[in-house]
Amino acid sequence: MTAHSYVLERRILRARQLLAQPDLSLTDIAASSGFATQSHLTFAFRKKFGITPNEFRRKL
Amino acid sequence: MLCSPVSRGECLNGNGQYVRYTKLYGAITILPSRFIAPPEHLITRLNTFTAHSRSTSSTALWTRWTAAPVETDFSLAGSRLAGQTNPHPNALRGRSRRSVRCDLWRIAGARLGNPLSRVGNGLVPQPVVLSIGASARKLRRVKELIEANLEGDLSLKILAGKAATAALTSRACFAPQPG
Repeated sequence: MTAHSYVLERRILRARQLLAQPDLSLTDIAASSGFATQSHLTFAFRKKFGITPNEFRRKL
Repeated sequence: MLCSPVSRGECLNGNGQYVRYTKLYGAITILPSRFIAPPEHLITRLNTFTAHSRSTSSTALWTRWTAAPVETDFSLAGSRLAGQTNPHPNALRGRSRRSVRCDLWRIAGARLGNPLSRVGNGLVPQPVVLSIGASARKLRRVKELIEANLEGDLSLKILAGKAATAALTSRACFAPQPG
């Protein structure tokens, strides 16, 4: 695992934790997790877990 | 703790001198890990020598370094032994020859006092296995930096400022994190 992939994984996991808070928008979560844009978060999250952050939040 | 076939360790000898050693033979060895190494900027290298052993057990040499009393332990580290072979009396019992490359270091002084007092009770300090590539301490510092600044800029340039650049280019440095 490279340093970049480690950072990306930690950011995705941070975003997943924040998704449990319903009052936070995806834009806020992306910013709080270190992603430049919401689409970047969605892309990375779907690549990691196979579902989008919105779908993940609906399943909570 | 398991160490890899070619690994490094560090310890304090009976004179309070800091010793780093490289295990040149291939074997999996179980080592304790209670010893806390001094800061890098406080140690300077005195000399380097190779110690040889004929032990049959891959752990025998380590056992002598970790379990024996201070006054009889780390006899390899004395400068009078530099260049000699088989300095351990017990090392002659075995058949296979193994060698350990030792770097003798001195802890720069006044701030640390007696180094043995830092590891407690005058017992022999325990060696710790360094990770290959970056040291565990550097990687831990980098990981703490990542955790503390996830929302900020975490470019490799910044991370490399906290650890050696070569360390961050190794894929083995960062283990996958569970869940």
